[in-house]
Amino acid sequence: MLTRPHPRDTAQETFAFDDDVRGAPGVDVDAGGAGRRRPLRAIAISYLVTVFVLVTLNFLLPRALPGDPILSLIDPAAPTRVPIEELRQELEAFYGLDRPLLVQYVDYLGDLARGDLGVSIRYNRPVAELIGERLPWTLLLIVAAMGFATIVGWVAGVHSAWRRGRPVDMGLLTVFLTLRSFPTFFLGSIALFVLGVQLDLFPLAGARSTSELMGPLARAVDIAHHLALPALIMALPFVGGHYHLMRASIVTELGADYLVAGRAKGLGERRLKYGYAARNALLPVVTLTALHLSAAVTTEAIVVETVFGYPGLGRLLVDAVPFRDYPTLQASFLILAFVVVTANLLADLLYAALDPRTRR
Amino acid sequence: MIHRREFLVMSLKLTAGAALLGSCDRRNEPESGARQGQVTRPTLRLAGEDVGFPSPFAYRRGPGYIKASYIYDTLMWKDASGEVLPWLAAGYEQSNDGRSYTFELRNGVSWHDGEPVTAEDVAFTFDYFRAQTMSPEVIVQPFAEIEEVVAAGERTVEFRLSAPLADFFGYRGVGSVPIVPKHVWADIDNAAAEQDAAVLVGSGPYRLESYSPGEGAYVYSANDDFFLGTPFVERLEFAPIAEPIAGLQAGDIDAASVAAVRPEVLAPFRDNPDLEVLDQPGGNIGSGLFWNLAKGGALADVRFRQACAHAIDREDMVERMLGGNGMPGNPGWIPSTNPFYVEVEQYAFDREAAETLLDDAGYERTGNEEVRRDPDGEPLSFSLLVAEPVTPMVDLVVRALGEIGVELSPRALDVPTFNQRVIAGESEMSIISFGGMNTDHAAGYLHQVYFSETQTTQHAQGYKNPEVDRLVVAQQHELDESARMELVARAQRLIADDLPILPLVYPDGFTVFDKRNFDAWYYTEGGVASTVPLIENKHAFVTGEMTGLEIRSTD
Amino acid sequence: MSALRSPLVVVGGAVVVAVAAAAVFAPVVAPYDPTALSGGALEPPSADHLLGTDVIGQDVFSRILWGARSSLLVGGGAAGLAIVVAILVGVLSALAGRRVDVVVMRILDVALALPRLPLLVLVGALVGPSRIALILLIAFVFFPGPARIFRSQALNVRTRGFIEASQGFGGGSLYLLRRHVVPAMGPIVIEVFVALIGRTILFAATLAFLGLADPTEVSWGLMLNQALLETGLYFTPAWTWLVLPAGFAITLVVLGFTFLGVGLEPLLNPRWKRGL
Repeated sequence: MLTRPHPRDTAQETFAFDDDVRGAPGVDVDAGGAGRRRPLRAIAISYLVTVFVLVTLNFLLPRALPGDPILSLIDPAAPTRVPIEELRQELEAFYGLDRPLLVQYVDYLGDLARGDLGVSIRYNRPVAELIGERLPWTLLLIVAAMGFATIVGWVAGVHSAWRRGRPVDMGLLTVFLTLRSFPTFFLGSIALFVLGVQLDLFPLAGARSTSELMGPLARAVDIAHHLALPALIMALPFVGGHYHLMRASIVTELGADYLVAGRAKGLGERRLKYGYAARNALLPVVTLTALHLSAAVTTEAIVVETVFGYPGLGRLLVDAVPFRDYPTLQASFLILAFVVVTANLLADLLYAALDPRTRR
Repeated sequence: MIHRREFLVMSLKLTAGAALLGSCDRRNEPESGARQGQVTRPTLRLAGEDVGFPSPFAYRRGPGYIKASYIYDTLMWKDASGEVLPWLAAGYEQSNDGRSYTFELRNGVSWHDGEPVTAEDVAFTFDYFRAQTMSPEVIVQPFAEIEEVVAAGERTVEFRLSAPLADFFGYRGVGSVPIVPKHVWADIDNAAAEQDAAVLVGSGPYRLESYSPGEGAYVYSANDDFFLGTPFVERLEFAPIAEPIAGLQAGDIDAASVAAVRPEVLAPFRDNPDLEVLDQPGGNIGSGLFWNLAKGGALADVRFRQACAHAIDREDMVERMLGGNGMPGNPGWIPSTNPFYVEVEQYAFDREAAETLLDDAGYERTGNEEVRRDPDGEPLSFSLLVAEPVTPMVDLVVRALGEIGVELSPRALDVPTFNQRVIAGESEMSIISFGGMNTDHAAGYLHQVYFSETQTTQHAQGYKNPEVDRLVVAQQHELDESARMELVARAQRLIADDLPILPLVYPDGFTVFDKRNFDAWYYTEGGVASTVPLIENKHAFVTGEMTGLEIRSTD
Repeated sequence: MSALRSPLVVVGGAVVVAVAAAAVFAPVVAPYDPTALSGGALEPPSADHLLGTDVIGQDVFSRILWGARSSLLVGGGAAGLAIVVAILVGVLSALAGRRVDVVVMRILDVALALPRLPLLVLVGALVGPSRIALILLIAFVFFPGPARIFRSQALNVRTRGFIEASQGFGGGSLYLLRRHVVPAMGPIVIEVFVALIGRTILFAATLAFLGLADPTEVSWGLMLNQALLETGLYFTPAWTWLVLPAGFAITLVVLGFTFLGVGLEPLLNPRWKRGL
């Protein structure tokens, strides 16, 4: 009877230097390596605490950091004040710096609950509106990129595990290690230049063509066409993670009894590989890690949107910086973080529900 | 379970498919129904930016004026040739002394709401402009010398001027002031604040369908009852495009205007048979180094300013930053390509001369210091206000002045804040952009920039030379060409000597367009409305031609 | 897999040494002052300028060499600071008792869930991108991960019984720290530090690419940022010498540290020897 270490345990070794996946369901770095199952209650509390911290941090940062950044926009005497009188007054009302801190906080929470994220200094429009326009594109980008990363990672992982120790395996490992070292903005620029400019295969910016006259199918293809390069480039840093996990899971399956029996019976390699080994390796752990979003997703989304001129939330954040558009900066930060944290909550809940050890 | 081979084949198919579909959509194919030899009414897509609400009282700058001009008409208007054509007017008469004009309006012109356009509307318009206060960014505000405008009949309008105006048919005169309906605006107290789309009732060839501020997206649709006939271009769509030439290349827009680009950037477009590159008349875009003389000290000392000018190698800037696509700025403001131009002191690059000037003027370096001090002991250290985005030119200026012991600290601001700061006189030194120096309006521009009492972003801050004041006002009223030239020449020599502003470079501008959808793009000779050096002249969109008032047929 | 280790260490180590050498010897090796206008703008690579010149005429090759300084200083500084804080937090948490430990762990959990770049963009916009601020901020977002690892290690050491034994013999906490915990943790600290530098350098370069860097410094990320600001650069061949060298430089140094980190892992962390 072979005792095989639980895939989660091997997984946590693999990621010894990659703490981005540390938060993934089941991958828990406590001493002993047994991994810890997290009860639903713990997951929920953890989520609420995180959201609370985010919200409070978002509130405190502009008020606590040196330099009085908000004041420099509002104070009529300051050289950097916002030029439009109405806008300045709206900002003043929104931040309420003359009120006691606790009152400001309560007001702030109330505003958030109502969806009031302030007015953008740059665009002179409610920030919530801007975010509403941009968020769907970022979500689309993330889903496409993560989907791609998962699929490619899995296929490569299966392939690599099957040829464990052989050149293909080493090669793939090196490739993925190398890929993680390439700055995304660099790869993106090269891709844009070669595939976009030189070969004219992909558009150079935007999420869709501006032409108004397009049927729904043409529109869908147009959007996919604009999405292709950004999603591909964004996927690259994450492929390695899924590759490793799948590979590790399969490797531990390879010693399994039923495979030995299968070979003895004379079942073909491919059938064994994809039919049995992979299916078992695709345990909830691996599947649900796919659903889990690393916080690094926001980093990559921002970079990719900037390089490819993709009109998402990441770009809204970056473009707001030279204008010192603090309401937009804050809201973009908050929403981006909130999306990732909430997505992970769902993944964690799903995992807790499907953990084979709870089922036992 | 996805088998490897299947997966690879699938991905290959997807990629190939995307590439094929992509290349299909590369260029905007002419709209539906275009068979061999047939022409259909095109929709033009262009790069947009937010230039304000397109009413004659609320737009911002030249591009904003153009947006308003689609909806509102003027009495006279220019086509590609630069000739001023009768537009709302059918004809005119002028008195010998140039102090009165009588215009006859066309018959049967109506506002978008059906009301007829009458002489009353014209008279009202000029009175109304006088009564309103508007931001200096609303560039067309009628000449003060237009004293009285009277409706002398249903369609007869009389203009009485307090003094003859050389530019009466151009900028700030009847060639550019948009006529508005009395029945819409008579009850509106604050014209600039009125930004409800319902107020945009004009006589012009297009109606505004939608406008999103912030983004700068405008959509116009043709007014089929326009007095010249159904406009050739059916729709105008302005959408925000981050990089216009990339957008053109992708087929997202039909024409892209760019400035300050190197020749290599345009080369692939010049080689493309489907595209054409138009050269904007030179000297229509500029950036200058401004000193705020009102702040006193070295800034008010002409020798300091002249030394700075000698320290900056402007010819090298044109080479280095533009690859030769442009010319060095002219201290006399008016570019060498313009008829009013006269040779003035150019302050050739000569660092030694600069150092000597400063030494002689009492600005010395003490000990081992890099930065010089003025006779009062204050260091020659100034803030340099610039607008986003910060270009390498700023860096070059800072370095150049650093070499002669003048320290500049660049401070970048977003455009609206920058404009406000500058107009309020809060800068020490700044780098400001301007345009339209090579239009009909070139001489009048001197008035805008150097007259001691004007207040615009490009105004020479704190500068007051009574002789210059006298000259720039006198040339406005001089109807005799050569006499006017002489006045303007003298003004240029003075401003070059006083040097309150050092124009740095005049980059060249270009428009690249796709011939297949629309080919009548042109730069209006002398500028649209005699002042805006851009490509979007509604005349081209209305007629589909470059000159004349005949509308190109579409069947 | 274990066969891959040695070459990784060798290659990684060589790269790191080369980059460090570039940083140290830049003033001597670089043909020009990196901020001097030593040529015309956008000159292609030639004998005079090995990698051509940038948009205003600065020598790209010199700037690449000098850029190594900024990368190593900011990336290394941030990583070093992060490690120090991580050790303090991690070890103290492990040794301080269950209650404190649980609280600290929860805090680290939350800290890890915060998205790094958005937070840094926001704070960077609020305080301004000076070199010191960047080092502090980057260290702040990167210390939680290592803190957890060190805590885990410290717990390991604790359960090995030395602690109780030493305490039985009368050893104070500082002594324990010095004699047992630190030597036990030494290897893993080195390994984590090496791996971390690669990531902090990449992160700092990303920030610079977005424009959040000290503009007076020569940094590779900022070089890319400035290159892409130039209109229509993609349509000219200048793209090749403005974008590729800086990009490859970043990639190379990150690769070097990554390889080194991965390569050192089995030597320093015996648990690797199992399984894979």
